Amino acid sequence: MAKIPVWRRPVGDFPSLLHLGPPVVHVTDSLSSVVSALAGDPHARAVFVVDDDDRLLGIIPERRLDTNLVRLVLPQSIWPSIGDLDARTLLHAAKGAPQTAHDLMVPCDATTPDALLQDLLVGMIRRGDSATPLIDEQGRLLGYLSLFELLANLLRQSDA
Amino acid sequence: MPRILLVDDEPRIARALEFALRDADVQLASLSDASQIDDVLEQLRPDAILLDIGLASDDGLGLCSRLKRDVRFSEIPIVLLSGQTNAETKAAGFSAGADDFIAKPFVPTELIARVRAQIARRGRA
Repeated sequence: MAKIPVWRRPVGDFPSLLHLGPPVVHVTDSLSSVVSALAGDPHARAVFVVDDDDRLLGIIPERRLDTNLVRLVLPQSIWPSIGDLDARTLLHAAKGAPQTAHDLMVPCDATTPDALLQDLLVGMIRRGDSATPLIDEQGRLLGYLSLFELLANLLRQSDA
Repeated sequence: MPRILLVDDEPRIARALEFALRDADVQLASLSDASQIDDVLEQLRPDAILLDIGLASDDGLGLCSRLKRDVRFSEIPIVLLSGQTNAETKAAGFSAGADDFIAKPFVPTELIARVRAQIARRGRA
């Protein structure tokens, strides 16, 4: 029987590439809870937001937290001298300061264990996602996968 | 087949582990209420315990320390799980008698390898 190419295998076949127990907050959690969650796992580059039933609602990318932390921590007089952060973004953030994870989160595409690796990779590259949440059939968060690790793993396999 | 008891009050971790270990040739049981752990350990006689430090109902480190002082359970390897990865937390875990420490998030392949190593070291399975 012909061997199934790695591209055509389901995501669930690669347990060594799954990260379980990722940084998670409830949709009503505060900004400081979100920051604490990401501080526990900075490699995730995002915090995952769930509802009461643990269903994934969205993600809070690290970059979105950076902006809000700068606004909280740095005096406003310093903002214009920050080169790579848009001062207008900070001013806008200051006007509508986020209070909860709900205010900070953005929608995200998730994958399931039976999705094909090929489809996952194409989707992540197309969207520019560095990490994609993994959910079960009920939409509950299981963990996440990193684009870099997926590609590095494929490179190792092609070198072998 | 090694029996592993997960003690964690977050059902998310149990659900993710059940999924990740479905082909790992281990028997996973989970306990969300740490107050029942003595009874469960007596009945299940697990080969290893995965214990979350951040239990809401109990102090995970205190529980680890208590189990290691109890002659009924002291030989069962305890692997701590924690979202806190700083050196102080790890040191506190080993001071409490833990046999290993795994930071969340974790890769299931590494977790099961570490648990198997602890079980083999004790010659339990």
